[in-house]
Amino acid sequence: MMRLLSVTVLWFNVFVGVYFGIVNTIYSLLLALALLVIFRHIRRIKYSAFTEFQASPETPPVAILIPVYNEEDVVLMSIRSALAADYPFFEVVVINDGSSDGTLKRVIDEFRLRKIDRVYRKFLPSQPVKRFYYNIETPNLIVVDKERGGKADALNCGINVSRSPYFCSVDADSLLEKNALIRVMTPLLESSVPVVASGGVVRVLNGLRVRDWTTIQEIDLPKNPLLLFQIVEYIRGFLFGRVGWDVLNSLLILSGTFSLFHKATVVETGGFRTGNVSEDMDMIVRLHKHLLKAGKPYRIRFVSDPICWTEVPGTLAMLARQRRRWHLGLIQSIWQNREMVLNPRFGRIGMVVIPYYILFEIMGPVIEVLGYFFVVLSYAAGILDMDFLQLFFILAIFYGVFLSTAAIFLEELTFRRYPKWRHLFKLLLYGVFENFGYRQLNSFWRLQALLRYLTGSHEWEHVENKGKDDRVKAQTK
Amino acid sequence: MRNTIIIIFILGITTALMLLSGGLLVASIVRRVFHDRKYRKLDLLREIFKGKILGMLESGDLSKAGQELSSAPRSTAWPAIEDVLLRLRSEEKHQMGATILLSTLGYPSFYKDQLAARSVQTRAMSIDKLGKMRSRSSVPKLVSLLDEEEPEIVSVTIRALSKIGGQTGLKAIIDRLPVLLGKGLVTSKALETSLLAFGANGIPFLAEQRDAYGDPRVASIVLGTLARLPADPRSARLATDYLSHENAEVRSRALQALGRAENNHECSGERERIILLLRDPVWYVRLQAIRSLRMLACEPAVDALGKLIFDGQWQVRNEAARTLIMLGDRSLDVLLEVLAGGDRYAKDSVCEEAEITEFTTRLMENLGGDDATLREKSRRILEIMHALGFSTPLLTYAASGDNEAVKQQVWAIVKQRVGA
Repeated sequence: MMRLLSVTVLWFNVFVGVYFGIVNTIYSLLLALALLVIFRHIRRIKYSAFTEFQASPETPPVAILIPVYNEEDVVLMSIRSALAADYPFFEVVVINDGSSDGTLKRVIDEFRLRKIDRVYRKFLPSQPVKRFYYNIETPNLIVVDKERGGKADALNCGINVSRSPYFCSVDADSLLEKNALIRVMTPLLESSVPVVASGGVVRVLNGLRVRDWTTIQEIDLPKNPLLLFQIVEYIRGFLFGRVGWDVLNSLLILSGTFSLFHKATVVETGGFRTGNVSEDMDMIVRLHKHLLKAGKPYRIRFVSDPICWTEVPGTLAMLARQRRRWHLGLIQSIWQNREMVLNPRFGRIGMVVIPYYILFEIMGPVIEVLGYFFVVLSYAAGILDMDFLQLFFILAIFYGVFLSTAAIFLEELTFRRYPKWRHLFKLLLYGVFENFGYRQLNSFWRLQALLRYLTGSHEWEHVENKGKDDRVKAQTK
Repeated sequence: MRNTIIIIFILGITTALMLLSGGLLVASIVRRVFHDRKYRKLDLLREIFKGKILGMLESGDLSKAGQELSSAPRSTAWPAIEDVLLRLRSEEKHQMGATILLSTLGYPSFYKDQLAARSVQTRAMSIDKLGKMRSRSSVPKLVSLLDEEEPEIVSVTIRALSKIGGQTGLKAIIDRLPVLLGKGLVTSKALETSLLAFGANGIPFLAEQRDAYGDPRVASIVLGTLARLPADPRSARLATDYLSHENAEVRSRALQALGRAENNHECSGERERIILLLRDPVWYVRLQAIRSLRMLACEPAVDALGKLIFDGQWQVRNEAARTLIMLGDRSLDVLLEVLAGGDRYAKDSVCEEAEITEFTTRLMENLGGDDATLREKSRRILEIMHALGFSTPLLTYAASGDNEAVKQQVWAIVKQRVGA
């Protein structure tokens, strides 16, 4: 019996080793691809056409949709920065999704809006609209006050109200850089294959000094270690994860914080699904499904130079909620579109990308947490010796350190948004520290999400006052 | 033995990762140090050269430029001088002098040589630079690049030629448009943006090349470009010729080019044809016909526009409503007819546009006017709007309006039952 147990444990350890070997190989390949692409992209930016498109009347109009729920502290920042976008023709649609605080009043007062009677035509289903607000002095801003229905519902409402052929979803606690919109639109204008969605980079807003609610005055790093870990994580996730998948034309995730969509295609797919806690990923999966089924050529792009700054959770409790929600959203999106899994009709998305997400993203935390447990158990049972155990941890940690260092190197190559020397060293240091606890905590939260999903708990965990402690700078400066 | 191999393997990978991480760390630091120095030096050199170059340009003595500003292409001085000259070139006062200096210092020649490089990015960057320098001598070389199969090169070349301007570049692009579009080497949006950069100087050529527009895609791109360039009788004449084209996109673009306020006189004879296009089977042609008539402030079209409020396509209905509202008092009869009708969608569209454009304010002002007919029509429209639930402007005026007489009439309207 003991022998059987030892053999099982030993083979499980081998499985964990092989599993992580494959995961790390994939990450390394994505990183190598990202490095190549970013090197090329940096050179291309020098002769990019975006400045011409910025001034061209031929650039198609875009609606910036800002769903808002209880964001009275930051909502003006997101609206003001959206209105300041350097883009030929755009409208800003703010959707107040049943806020119970002073969000709506704040917006009305700031822009001196008046009630207006507008016809609401439901191309997509949404909760009832209560009122529209408008001011002819800011003709490209309209505010919709509606019953609470969640972010997906608010976005559907925004699509119904907007009059532009493209829309860009932006979170209420985010700040768009002035040229972010034209930069995220550029691939759509330059591609001969229709681009139905395009996403940009999301960065951490906490700790930044913002001027006039529109411009970043000074970039600094927050003091809260949790925020620093997230800064490193966002740099890594956006600069090599998404760039790598974009090269393979296999993007399955674009951040709902800042993504541009072709409206007619989104309407064709039925809009954002309200039952999903991660409406952005679900939309991308459904776009793939719809267009592959229809046999239409298309592309979904990620661009590494448009930047949107967003608030991230500053407490463990809120971060846990956010991470559980993201993982739950991932599981839901794949489960709700399970007909795509290993279905040759859906090409590389069905045969490679979705299986990758199931095996390595959804199951990853399970294997990781079990792996830690079994390796320690093997050592305790005398199956593994101390040297081996130490080496296992050293390898896992150094690989994490390598990925973080590589991501910060990519940041240095591209934007260098953190200009001071202490920024560089602090980020590198936190890239090392995050491997001691933060990464494991993330895996634990993701495992929790999976277990909750399996036990039937699918509710949206709302993340409140994400960057409350670090907002002061954004408001007063 | 097996354990030893595993340990060596893991140690090997760990060491490699450590070395790679260390390498990246060093690379990040070195790059930062190098860039900090480079850009500090570049900023300093820009300031120094700006002073020197401005001195030369203002004195008109460029003879010493070769001596004082000479630099090697790989040196920091090279981009510093180039930046200063390109910036000065954009100022009308120094345009000529800066162009001469760029040429004297060998910038266009260097970038022309770079066109033979193997790297696509190096070539594209050189093409872009030649465009920014408005290097007319490089036009023949750039034109030959239009025949390449690399989309990046082709699109940057088109942009560069459009910046340089002139008929040779424009003709080369127009001649190749069917092939470029057919092979997907450039998108129509990118093309139109570049063609616009030729500016008003391109109009005579574009308007007279009708033989080259056999391909409907080309015709629609050219007409779309002319529609965005300053109004010109030649553009209007070309557009008139294409109003009956079999391709809907071309008809729509022809309408766009024709529908300019400045063309009011030019196309007075074409109004009937434009009004006829309000019945075009393709919805976006009807949409564009409405817009054009609005731009031409075409009163005789009011009745035809009224019919389009019941169009099958919502974009057409909304545009018709907007246009009627913008035509103001002249369209009151048609608006009344629509509002008194049974089509709720059409009525909503009219009311919505009236509120957004603040036409309701005008209607309320009419209530206090001397013209009894106008007063009565305005009152009737406001009553219907109130009945349909578009009451907010009325309620606002009733509460805080400044004209007592009008306020009383507005009160009388709002007291009526909503939905009556």
